[in-house]
Amino acid sequence: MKRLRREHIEREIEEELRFHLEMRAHQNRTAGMSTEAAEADAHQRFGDFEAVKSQCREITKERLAHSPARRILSTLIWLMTGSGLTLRFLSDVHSVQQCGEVLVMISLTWRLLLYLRLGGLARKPQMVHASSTLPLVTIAPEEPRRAVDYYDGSGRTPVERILSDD
Amino acid sequence: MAQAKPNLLQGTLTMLILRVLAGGALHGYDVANRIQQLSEDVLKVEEGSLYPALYRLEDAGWIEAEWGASENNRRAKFYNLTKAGRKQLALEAGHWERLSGAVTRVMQTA
Repeated sequence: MKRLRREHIEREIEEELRFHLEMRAHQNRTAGMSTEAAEADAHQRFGDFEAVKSQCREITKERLAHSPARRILSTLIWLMTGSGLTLRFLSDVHSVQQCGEVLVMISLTWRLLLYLRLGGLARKPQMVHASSTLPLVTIAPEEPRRAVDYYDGSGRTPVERILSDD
Repeated sequence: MAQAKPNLLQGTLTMLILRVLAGGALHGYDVANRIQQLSEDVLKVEEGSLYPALYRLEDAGWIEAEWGASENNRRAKFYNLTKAGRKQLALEAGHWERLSGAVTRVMQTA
């Protein structure tokens, strides 16, 4: 079951990322690139395919591990474990003297389970900011200046021209 | 010496993604293209890195994903803004307005 789900997640991520690459390559071909150049450019723009896939997989796994269904299931397991141990301790009571010890054991058990449960809840990862894997967006450099801006025929470099303007 | 590419402030991509998705469901490829088009080619999304960002936004409950058919009839994963995502967008847009206003004021007077 777990393996099937893992494979399904893997397939969906792969399909989504491949779709992106194919769309980019298609757009490149439409713009006049050869098939090889279009695909190479798509891969280059995309970056490390396997690394991106791995990041997506980890995020999905984390989300599923803390899904409401998973939490309900773990709460049920927790309650059943506690109840089972309580009944087990109660079945050992054969005299009034034993009552005190068993109650202490039951109390300690529930405290321990509660501690583990709260620890588990506290382990829910904090929302990592979407842009923690910078650089994600870059600012394109300004349009290069036209050659005429640099070479005015005077034979001076732009820096020399600026200095002489002062 | 080569100049480093200027990056956008951390957190800005979240706002940009939420903003383009406010216009309707889009797949990842279109999200990247829309950001680039709307910014008139000034902003370029690092295409691969966009996906972990989308997954994190989905994890936060700000967007939701659904498989559907793309314009060329291919199966594609479309992202949509949720109610919580709209709230987050309003919040981030407010922060951005304050920040950009403040930076502009400093640059104009300093």
